[in-house]
Amino acid sequence: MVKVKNVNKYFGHLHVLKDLSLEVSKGEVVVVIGPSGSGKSTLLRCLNYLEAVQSGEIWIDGIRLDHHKTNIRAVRAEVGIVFQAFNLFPHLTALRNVMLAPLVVRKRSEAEVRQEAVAMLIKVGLQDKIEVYPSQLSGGQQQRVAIARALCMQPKLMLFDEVTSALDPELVREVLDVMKQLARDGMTMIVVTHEMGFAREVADRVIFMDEGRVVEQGTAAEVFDRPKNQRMREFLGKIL
Amino acid sequence: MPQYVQDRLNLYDAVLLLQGLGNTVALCLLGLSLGTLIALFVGLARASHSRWLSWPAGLYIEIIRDSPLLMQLYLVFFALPLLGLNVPIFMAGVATLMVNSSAFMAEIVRGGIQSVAKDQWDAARGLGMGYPQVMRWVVIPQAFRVMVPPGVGLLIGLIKDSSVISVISYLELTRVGQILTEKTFLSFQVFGIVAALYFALCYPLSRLALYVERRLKVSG
Repeated sequence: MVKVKNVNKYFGHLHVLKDLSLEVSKGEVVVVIGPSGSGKSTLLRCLNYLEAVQSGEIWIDGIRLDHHKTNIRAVRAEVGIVFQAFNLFPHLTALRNVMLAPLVVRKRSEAEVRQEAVAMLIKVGLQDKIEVYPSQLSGGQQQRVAIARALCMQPKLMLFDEVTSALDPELVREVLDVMKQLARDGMTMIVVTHEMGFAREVADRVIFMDEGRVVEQGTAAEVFDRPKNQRMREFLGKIL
Repeated sequence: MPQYVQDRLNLYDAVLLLQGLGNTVALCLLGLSLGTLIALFVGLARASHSRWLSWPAGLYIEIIRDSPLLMQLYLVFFALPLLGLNVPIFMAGVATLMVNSSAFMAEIVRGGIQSVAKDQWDAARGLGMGYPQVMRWVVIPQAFRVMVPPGVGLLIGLIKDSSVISVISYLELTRVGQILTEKTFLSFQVFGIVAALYFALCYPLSRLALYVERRLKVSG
């Protein structure tokens, strides 16, 4: 589903991703952890070309991400991304947030999309918030709208970029529950997070990134309980 | 008092004033709406990441913003005919208002567009939207809110500044006022009425802007 080959990414002189390679297969849930500045978020942003890479190849479901606009837009439509700061459209209701992309990108019919969007909002537990604007929603509710918005494009791959980091602790669970359900439904997911409990429970594979490289990877049990890498041990020591 | 001097305003003068008002409305309606339309494109170009678009737009804006409205009017009315382009008096007024408002309004459009957080672009792009779609559905609706107060302020200013067009003898409100004072010497009364008519044009616009602003605030 995802193939990243020898990717290098720079911000000016800063070398953010260093010769990074990674493969994710269909239905796999991969959790990416690592200290801040290790390139986790940048990796996600490169996977749907919100950032361009300087060298290397990125393939998503058989399409090469390069400078071709048609490729980029085709891939973006298939790859959902959810951000730390929700990034809902503040001038649209929850329902309209979810409906917008299927309407204007997929050019599907209003009635059909509305039905699906409502179903999606119900699925994430927001049946009573359908006509509400983002400013009137809690952080956890906003993030669930953001997830519904991404899902309504029927993506083949979902990227989650520290989606619970901006939430009050008591709101984290409602978002994680939605993500767990999604994982159980067989969605291919790449999740950047600091929620180790989530990683243990749903991750098929945990990847530890440090200074732009994949330093260690394996099942949650392998990575958390028997870390081989020194940096990984230090990192775990700090957060656990 | 010589025979030809009137000592009061009569019905014909009132009709003339209303005609002047109508002409001012026509000038502004045409000039300012065309100007706003152009401003949308100039502002988009100015906010663009492409230097080929943003630089010429910037040049256009600066040249017009930094030269007097009166000189622009003179250039359109007196200089264009030298190039063999005869501009009817009404069209000269419309063109001047259009050009002038387009530059100022373009800056307001640019400011509005740039006030929308980059996050919104990420979210919209991440959903597969292209540049025109992001603009149309995500950025412009949010930018519009920011643009309403300064935009209406600009329009009100230009409606009043359209009085400058009196110098090319177009019979707009101010020119009518000048003619009537020359005829009656009732400067205070005549210009008082003229000012009141400008007020009557601008005040509703002001209220409308407040109303629109409040409406937009309620939704999100």
